[in-house]
Amino acid sequence: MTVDVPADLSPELNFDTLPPEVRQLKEDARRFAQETVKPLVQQLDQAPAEDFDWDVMRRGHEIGLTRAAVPTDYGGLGLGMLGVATALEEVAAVCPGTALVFGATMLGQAPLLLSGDPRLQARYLPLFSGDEPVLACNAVTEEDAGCDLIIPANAPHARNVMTARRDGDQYVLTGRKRFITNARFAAFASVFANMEGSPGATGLTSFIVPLNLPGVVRGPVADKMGYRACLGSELEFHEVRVPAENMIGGEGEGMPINMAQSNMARAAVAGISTGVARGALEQAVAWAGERVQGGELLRRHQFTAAKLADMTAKVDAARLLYLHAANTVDTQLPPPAYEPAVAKLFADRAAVDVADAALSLVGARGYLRSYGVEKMLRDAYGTRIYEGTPEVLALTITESLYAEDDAE
Amino acid sequence: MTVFSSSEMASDVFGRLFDVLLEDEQFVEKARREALSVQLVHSKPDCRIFVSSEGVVHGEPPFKAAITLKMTCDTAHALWMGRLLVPAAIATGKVRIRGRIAKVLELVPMLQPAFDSYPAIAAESGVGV
Amino acid sequence: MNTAHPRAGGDGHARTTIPTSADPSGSRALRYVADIIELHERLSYRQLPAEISGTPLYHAEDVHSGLITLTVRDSQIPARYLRGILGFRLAQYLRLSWISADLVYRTAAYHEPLPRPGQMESIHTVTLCSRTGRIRGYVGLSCSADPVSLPLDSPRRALFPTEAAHGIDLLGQYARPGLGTHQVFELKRFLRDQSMPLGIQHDRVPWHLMLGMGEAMIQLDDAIRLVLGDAKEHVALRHLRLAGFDLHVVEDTSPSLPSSDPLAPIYHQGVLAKPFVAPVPEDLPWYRDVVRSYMDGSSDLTSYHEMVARLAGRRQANGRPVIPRQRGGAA
Repeated sequence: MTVDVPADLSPELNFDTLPPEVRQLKEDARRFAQETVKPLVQQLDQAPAEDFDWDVMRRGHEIGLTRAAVPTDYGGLGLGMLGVATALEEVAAVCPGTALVFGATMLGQAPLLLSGDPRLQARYLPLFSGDEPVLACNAVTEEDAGCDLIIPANAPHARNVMTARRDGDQYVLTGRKRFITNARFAAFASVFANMEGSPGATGLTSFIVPLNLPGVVRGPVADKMGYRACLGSELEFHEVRVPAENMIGGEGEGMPINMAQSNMARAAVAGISTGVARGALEQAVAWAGERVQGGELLRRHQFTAAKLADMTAKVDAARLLYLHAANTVDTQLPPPAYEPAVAKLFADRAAVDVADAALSLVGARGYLRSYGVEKMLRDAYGTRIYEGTPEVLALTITESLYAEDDAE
Repeated sequence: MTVFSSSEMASDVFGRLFDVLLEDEQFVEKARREALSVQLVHSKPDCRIFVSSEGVVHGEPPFKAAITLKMTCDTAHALWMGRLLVPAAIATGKVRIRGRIAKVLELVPMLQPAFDSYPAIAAESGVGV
Repeated sequence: MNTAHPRAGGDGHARTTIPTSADPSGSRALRYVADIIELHERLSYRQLPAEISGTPLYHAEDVHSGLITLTVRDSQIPARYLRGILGFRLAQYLRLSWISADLVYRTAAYHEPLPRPGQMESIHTVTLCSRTGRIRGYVGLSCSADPVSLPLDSPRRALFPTEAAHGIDLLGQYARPGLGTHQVFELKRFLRDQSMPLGIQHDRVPWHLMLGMGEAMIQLDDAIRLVLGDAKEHVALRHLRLAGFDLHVVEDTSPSLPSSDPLAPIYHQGVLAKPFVAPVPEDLPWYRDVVRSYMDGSSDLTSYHEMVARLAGRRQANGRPVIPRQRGGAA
């Protein structure tokens, strides 16, 4: 049965249907994942850390995964986080690392989307509208500062944060960022640096920094446990001069901007975590549907059935939570903190739980690198680290529980 | 002490501001094409304005707006004067928006004529600068 | 073709030319336009031929020079590619300082305005590098703004931009029954990528654009009867005459645009473009065949000069000089 879907996204989202343009990208992403990525999944996972498959990324770019959230006025698809999240779930069900390449690009674009500055947007967002793939990245984390740059109460205690100082019509950036997905190849980064003289990270300020500027050094690629299809590396800024008009908001306004973009992004990356869980579930379902023990298919054994039921419920619940979060983010500014944090917290746990259960269900074969299940468990641990650890998410959720819901 | 002494003053100033926007062909064309309508809900003092490609309506909206913007009059004044920047205003919750955010993000860059006109409109109405 | 003189020597890409501004405080505007120029230098559209909807009016690949040329209508081009093409136009005009950097900055433009939906559609000819997908050249045939086709001498007809800028009526002289404004197109933005190095692509781009445009005119037959525009004497006008167009050029106009028009700077140059109008020549297929056979190597012509000589020869045989006698002087 087909259902007519209204063109407009109503805040009261019908979870059984998606707007047609969102559904189109989801289908394209599924086809991309199954036809382009799946045949290469093992290769992408087991290649050396520095390897990056541009042919795969080109195909993802062609279907719009690098510009899903970019407004149509700048050549993008103009979909909100709902479009991004549902598409990333499809890709992550096969390869979360590939999904994160596109997720991190969206994260690098997010401050531009929130900037309300048409000139800044016109200079950078159309980059994604050509036929050659272009990536972006979001540069927040540092050697000594991770959560300290996303929890306002921690900001005064942050140490050795990258600095920015005003010099005429420019800002001069000095410092180093670590574990930045896409930094190796990104055209630009949204960078958060602390204004010189402000204690800790209390003067955190947001900039768009083209990564071909003098003084930018792309550092070594990290050899990660999972998410190996995407590259995480360092970015060094040696007195990098950035035009003043590349600042987003004002001096010292970077923390709320960082939090706002995190809230937007969490709704989408919860889709990646859900995809990890779903990918593991699919492998478990396939195995349990063909393996025979005790004269019966594994799925008919009660312990296995209980496991599969629990895994399925977690995947479905994770999906519903991220759909709700994405829809909420797409219909409210500032992006709410609560729904995306809940969605990511649950989906991250579901990813680890379901991947762990799948590995145990598949048994010895699941322990082999060639089978693919152990990869999903390694990837699942990664989802708990970026865009908010369980601890940070717990603090965010709890704060929301006690926040008063009023404008000033 | 707020910048606007009365709801009538706020209605007059913001109404005229959106009249300026409706003279911009590009804005009107986009608003018509995308069926965009905006409900401004200002407080302190209270003031409601509804804007669509058809014009400005004060008070109760003729129908549910596609986008609702909620902020105090002082915040609105600071925004239009350029003293409060859009990303900070949104990120800190000084401005709250409901509706299809993708469309809001496309609309914001088209508000430049209003930013250009506001200081003069405010001054003419005796709004404190 | 409206181009600045190509830089002599040097391989590889030229540095981005930052348009000058008379206002030193416009440094942000200058940085903005430099970024927009650089943006469009980065963008490429290798998939454009595959993404066109419907059948293009013209599609040809020149394997010898690695160029692909397409001629299509507005509606055949997917939105992001149309913005890219209009962005190429803007970037080249910025490089040439023919468009106001200040106004582009103030309006936060990164491409020329999109066509308004209407009954008529403009026609775009784009030449791409087949290897990189970069746009190497463009020429447009811009349609009338009249909602319905009007007689050419109708006082209600909308002036074409060239007519408005030069303050003249180019079409009234051609008025006759059965000929309306929807059959007239303005030739616009005959452009080559300013950053393209000298070489075979540089030489061939204008002729590929002419072929694409000419093929569209031949195919569309009665739908395009007259072309008009403005161009410089020894560049675009020369190309058009060589291609068989019998141009009626109006001398000694004083073109200008309001300062609020971003294109106002185009008429602040030393050498100004002259307005012209011409019927589409009936023997346009002959000219097309000569140019095409030279470009694809299937003819006996062995050099560019031979091709030009053959084209010019036909004009002269028909009593139409390539370079018209100047008023009051020798050619």
